[in-house]
Amino acid sequence: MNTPSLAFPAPAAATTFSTFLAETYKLASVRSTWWFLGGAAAVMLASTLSEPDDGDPTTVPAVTAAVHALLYYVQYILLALGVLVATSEFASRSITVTLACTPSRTRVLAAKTLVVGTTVFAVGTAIAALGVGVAGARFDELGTMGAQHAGQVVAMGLYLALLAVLGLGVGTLVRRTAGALAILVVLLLLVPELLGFAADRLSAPWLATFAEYTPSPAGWLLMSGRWEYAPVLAAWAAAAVGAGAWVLRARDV
Amino acid sequence: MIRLNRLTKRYADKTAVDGLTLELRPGTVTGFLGPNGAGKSTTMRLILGLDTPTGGSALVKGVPYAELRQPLRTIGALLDAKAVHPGRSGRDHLRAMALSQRIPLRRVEEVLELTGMTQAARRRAGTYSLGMSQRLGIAGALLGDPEILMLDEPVNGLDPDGVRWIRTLLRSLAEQGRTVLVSSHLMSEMEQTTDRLIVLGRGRLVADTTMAGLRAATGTTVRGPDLGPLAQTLTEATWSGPHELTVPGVPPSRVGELAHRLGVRLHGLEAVEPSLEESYMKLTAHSVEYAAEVATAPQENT
Repeated sequence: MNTPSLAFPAPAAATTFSTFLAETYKLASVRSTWWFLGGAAAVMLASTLSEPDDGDPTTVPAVTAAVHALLYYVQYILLALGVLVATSEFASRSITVTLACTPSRTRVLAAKTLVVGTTVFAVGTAIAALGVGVAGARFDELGTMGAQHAGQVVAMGLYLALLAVLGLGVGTLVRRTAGALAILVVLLLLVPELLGFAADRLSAPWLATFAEYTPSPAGWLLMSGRWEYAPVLAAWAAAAVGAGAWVLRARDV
Repeated sequence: MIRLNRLTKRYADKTAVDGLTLELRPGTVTGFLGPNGAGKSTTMRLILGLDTPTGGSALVKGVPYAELRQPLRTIGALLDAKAVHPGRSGRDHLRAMALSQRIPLRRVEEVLELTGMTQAARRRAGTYSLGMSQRLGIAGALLGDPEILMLDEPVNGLDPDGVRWIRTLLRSLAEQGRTVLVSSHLMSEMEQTTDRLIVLGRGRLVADTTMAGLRAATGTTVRGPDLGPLAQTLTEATWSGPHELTVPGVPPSRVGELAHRLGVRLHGLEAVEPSLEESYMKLTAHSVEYAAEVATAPQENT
């Protein structure tokens, strides 16, 4: 029997780093990624250019304007990016190729989490800085800003990154884009509203406190400089990715 | 190379693979044959660890697929040619695969060349025809220069040139000592390519044979003025004319002996070699999943 001729020397063993490189290449090699990132920046720019000055001299409206743009628009774009990193693989069935290349499903999801998290953190922080910068120039208050506001910009990037990872986890969990987005919109918009409404109606302030621990109110608090809410958001993201990993390991693809 | 041991996959309402035991040997092209729904693709998915078996095991070089260090170096598979992100170019699809295995990127250009996809490599995979997708899928299977190749219906969607190309490719890969498993639901595709045939029906092994073996089930046609006694003795005989009997599966020598013993006069005796297509149809007739069920299903919603 002939031994198969090798077309190239045997490479060193594939590692988690190889999986990370492959996932990074996959994210960068589809045009939609660039549309999402560019779109998020454009929306931030448009929103902060049109936000009115609130006229309150005690606040820094530039940061508020950026946070508004982020909570109303930008977060949903980057959330959808996170969702699609998972669901596009199931929609196109390319998940079978991904898992044939890297049979460890935990490793695949870990690499995706890392890629989505770092990319959205970097781009999200830049977008937040852009928004604060543009609004600050408009309201003529760039000179009054300091380290605290820089910290808020980083907090915005962190919030966006954790939210995108939350989207990735939910996307892995339910495998369908529409289903994942529906769940996330309910979680981000409806759940805090309902909890607030119930807190009022039932005179149960603990429900309002509970609402603060759901992602979007926690994100708002984090971006206001309350860093103690960072672990809350990290826990949401970790729970979603953990659940996604569990299902990915258990289910056939 | 690949060893299946009582491999079983059961879903809620059906058994896709039912206690399949077999071993694939290096240096051969094995044809995996069966009607649609016979369990060919499910078996391949189980080998790759994409689905978890309900029972039994599938080992690649002695270990489950998940334990292979660089799986693409050991086994290259094409399961579903369309399983590519439609927005990613063919070249980028292969590059991402190569990066995951630390395969040098120049190997991507080699397999693109080999499959005739260099021209189309820049285009997004969503724009590919089925034939081009198949070629990209084969390029992906060859990427790691693997010892084992597993291709699910690779001929689907290829033009006649492409079909000839893939036959030559499969033969040359086997001649290099590799193990090749290729599935099809069409007998004719297998005829010139395979050394060994594994026929599946309803998830079970129906036959493990060769082309010659499949053809060997020779029957007999016999003519004579009064064949009545012969027809009564040979239960499988059917009248194919007023003075002619056809006896499937019984060679002429045995029919002749029997006629002599019964004192039946013969005017003609000849062997009937069934076509491969016929032999295959006969083997799988009782296991064709849909034909029978559709015919007996009650009409609904009409």
